[in-house]
Amino acid sequence: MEDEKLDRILEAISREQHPVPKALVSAAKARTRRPELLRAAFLISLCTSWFVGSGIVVLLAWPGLSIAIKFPIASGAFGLAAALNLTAIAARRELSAFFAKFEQQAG
Amino acid sequence: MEDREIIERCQKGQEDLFDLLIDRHRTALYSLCRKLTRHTMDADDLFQDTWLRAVRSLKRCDPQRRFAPWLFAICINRYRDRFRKRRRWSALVRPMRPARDVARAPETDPAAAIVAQEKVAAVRRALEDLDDVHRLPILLHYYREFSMNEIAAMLAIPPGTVKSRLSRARQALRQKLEEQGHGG
Repeated sequence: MEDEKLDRILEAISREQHPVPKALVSAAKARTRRPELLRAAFLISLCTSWFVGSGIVVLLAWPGLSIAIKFPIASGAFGLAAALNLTAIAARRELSAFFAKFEQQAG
Repeated sequence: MEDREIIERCQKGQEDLFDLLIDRHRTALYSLCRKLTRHTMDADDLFQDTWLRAVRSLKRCDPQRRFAPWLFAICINRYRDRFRKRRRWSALVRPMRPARDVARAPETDPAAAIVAQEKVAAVRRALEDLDDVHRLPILLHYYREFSMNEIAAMLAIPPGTVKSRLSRARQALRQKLEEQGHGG
């Protein structure tokens, strides 16, 4: 094969354009915005669980310290639930991108 | 709006404009991902991963330089980190199909067209068989969008090494084509 012909074929192969699936572009756009969202969700969940947990302890402690001591598990569970809830919001965003990609592959 | 302006604005906090960069460079980047990974699902992962890395390190991007070589360099680095070891197995599971008829030679005679297609397929096979050290310079050089210095920066090697690898790659391709009976 002549040099010129080989060059032409290599150029054609190298310049081939593959159409990008729309769902993939949407997922990429969503993911590029996610670092901030995930960071924010993590910070909010951390702060909320801290404040909610502390608030519950204070509220319980207000009428008497003995009540707070009686319900340490309840106050801890409330704070944990708040943290889990916010973590689930962040996870749902991950999953939405995953399902967008899954649909694109299935379709 | 030029890439430079978009990058500057993104760096100042207008992150929403990053979508414009995705829209502008998505086809070129996805095509590179497909060629690098040779596998649709891996290409999809690499495409998303590259954009994610790009947005994370956008602060370090020099707006005075062209965006595409910077983006391609990220893509190549991610590919090297994640996909190279899996490439052989991926290719066995689901070999990549060629893109739409772009590489097909415009022959009018059906017999000549078949011969031309066979030659293109032979070159494609030979290129697929090359190791990445030689395949990457070929893909980037014949893409005809980047200077030798930009290719060197993308591959993190000196320009002279790019040239020598190109030369060796062409030689290896010729040898493989001769073995396949397409030497003449």
